[in-house]
Amino acid sequence: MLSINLQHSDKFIVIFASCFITKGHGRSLIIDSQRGKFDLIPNDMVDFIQNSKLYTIRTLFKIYGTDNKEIVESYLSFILENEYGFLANDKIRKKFPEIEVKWQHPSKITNSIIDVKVFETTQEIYLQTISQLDTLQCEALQIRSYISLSESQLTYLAEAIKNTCIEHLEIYTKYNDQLTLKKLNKLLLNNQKISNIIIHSASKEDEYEVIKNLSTIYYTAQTLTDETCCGLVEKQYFNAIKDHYMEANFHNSCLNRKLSIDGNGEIKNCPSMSKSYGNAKDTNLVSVLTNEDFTAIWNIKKDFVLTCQDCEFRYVCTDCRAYVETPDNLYAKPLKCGYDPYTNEWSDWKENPLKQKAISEYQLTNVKRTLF
Amino acid sequence: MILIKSNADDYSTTQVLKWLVHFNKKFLRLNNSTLLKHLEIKDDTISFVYGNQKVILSDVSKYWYRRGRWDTFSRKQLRHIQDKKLNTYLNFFNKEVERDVIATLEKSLFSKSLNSYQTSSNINKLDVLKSCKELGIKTPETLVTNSKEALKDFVTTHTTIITKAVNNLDPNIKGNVFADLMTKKITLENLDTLPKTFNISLFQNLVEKEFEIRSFFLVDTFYSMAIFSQNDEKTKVDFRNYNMKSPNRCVPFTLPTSLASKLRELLKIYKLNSASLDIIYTTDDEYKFLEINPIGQYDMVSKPCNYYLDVEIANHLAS
Ligand code: SF4
Repeated sequence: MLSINLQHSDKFIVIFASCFITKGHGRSLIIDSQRGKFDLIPNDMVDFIQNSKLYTIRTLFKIYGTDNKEIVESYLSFILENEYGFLANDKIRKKFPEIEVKWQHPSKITNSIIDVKVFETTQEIYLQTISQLDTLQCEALQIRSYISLSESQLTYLAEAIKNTCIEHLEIYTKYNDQLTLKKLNKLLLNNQKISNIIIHSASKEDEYEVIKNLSTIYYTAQTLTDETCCGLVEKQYFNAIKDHYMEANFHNSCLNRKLSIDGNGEIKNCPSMSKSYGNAKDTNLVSVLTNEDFTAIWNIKKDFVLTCQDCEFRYVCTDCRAYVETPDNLYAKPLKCGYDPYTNEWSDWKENPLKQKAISEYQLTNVKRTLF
Repeated sequence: MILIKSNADDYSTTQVLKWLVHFNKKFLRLNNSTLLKHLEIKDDTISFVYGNQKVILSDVSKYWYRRGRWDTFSRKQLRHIQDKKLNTYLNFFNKEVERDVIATLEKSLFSKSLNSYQTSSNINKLDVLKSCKELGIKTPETLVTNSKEALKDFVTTHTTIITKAVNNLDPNIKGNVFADLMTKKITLENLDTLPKTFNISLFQNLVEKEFEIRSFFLVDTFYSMAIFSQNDEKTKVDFRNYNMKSPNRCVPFTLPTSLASKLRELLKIYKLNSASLDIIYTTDDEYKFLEINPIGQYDMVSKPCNYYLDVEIANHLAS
């Protein structure tokens, strides 16, 4: 608890501009967008923070009365101890404007997923796809291979991005004992842009850091057999970093400026979605971007999504449009979310009787995987 | 065409250029290792060749000097000359020529410039402090000396002082404690380790800060950020001693208009239309100006405050 007695302070409590509050139906979230963390707070505290913009701390204590003295004290120490706010006199506090909520990006496509099911199929479209992604100034690429890739195949995939705009490459590949740690290490050292390699279907969980590159090799026992493994909404995937928060205020937090190529070379918003905008073999990626259907989905932000719009996690959560509760509704809540913002309870989405229809419609057989 | 002078590894330049691509603008980026080939200065026409493209400076719509030096002679070739004396002479001679050539070149671009090598590389800190006095901009008490005696007096009056580089090349006091460009504390205790005389160095009294302000000036706007570092012992003296675990709070800040207009005057004196400024807000509610850095990392202000300075710069260059 706070050691200083604030009851008679003529100062104001000012919330740092990098901390945002998202009000939910039953409670709220305070998001520290600079440090990437968040805390749940009662909605009453949000009102208190509103009042604290108008009154000195001394006045706040008076307004809330002796009955609520302890609550006011706990709010204040919560804010100060977590460095969500600071004390300032009347003169200086007005010099701290809010951070403007806006999101801009120079790239037409910021991130891309390329799925590999048969290496030769991907290879056929790979170089031309990378060159087009470069034209679109794409920054991050994720390659998800459902099969084992050899050292030379991985090298081929990584080498191609060397002189492009793509700055981050993440690779998922299936375990195979030929692909030794030594080979992976060499691959990473030769290709500085690889940020992570995730080896799925391994015998055990493991993790190796390649310090020189600031990159990591992960081994996981989880399997990755096809696209249906994606789309999970869980607390551990929440992202409170400013850029994500800002983007989620305006756009779909998964699909915005994303372009994916599935295992058959089909161009899609996301490999898990059924709609294809042509095969990368003979369709130019730039032309796909002129198709309004392709880009419209980028603007389905959480504020438009049913249920999510009342959820305190809406700007830290990652959306999913591939698997939703009612498949024919564009604005339905993600299927693989077990959270209910009206009761503030988490439950297992797979057990939810209301979701069984959608689960069978998507033919989600093994829904236990939690790889992404 | 927009002409940009930078270093090959400068992140901010790359970000701005992405926006220029986005706006469909033509540009040419020269890095510090880009040698100016076929340079011609003839009457009013200045040109050089880049790749197989002839660049005529009158075709340049905007010039952005971001960082790095211009290259008018091959430093690499010079390195192969074995004769030490000849090498030193040629180096000196070429550098002198380079200075005049670049001055001429940048002069012809001046009205279209966002900063220049000329204005950015020659900031005299002592001069700046004097200008501050004249403009009524408060600064910490300052002493420039090479004598331990004088320093001792200064420390006695101000208790705690810090040392800084006199200019950006200054080796500072060569000794076990202070040979470092980072701001370091000096007290009566660690003063004893110094020799009687040392290289001329700059000393300032340590002002107790409520928070620091880093302000980026672009054309006519200040984009400011407050940095709260007091909470953390590690970052008390200079917040460049980053604390990775829990980064200092960095939030947007608005400079008081009176201070902003004085600082505008200051920047005008040094012909700077873009620069980073360091200011301290003291525990006595005063603003104390520390220094100007013409090629400062504006990204560290832009990112936390969501100012999108890359876009602002790109917009300025594209206009
Ligand atoms: S309800 Fe929506 S916003 Fe909330 S956690 Fe679930 S998917 Fe995310």
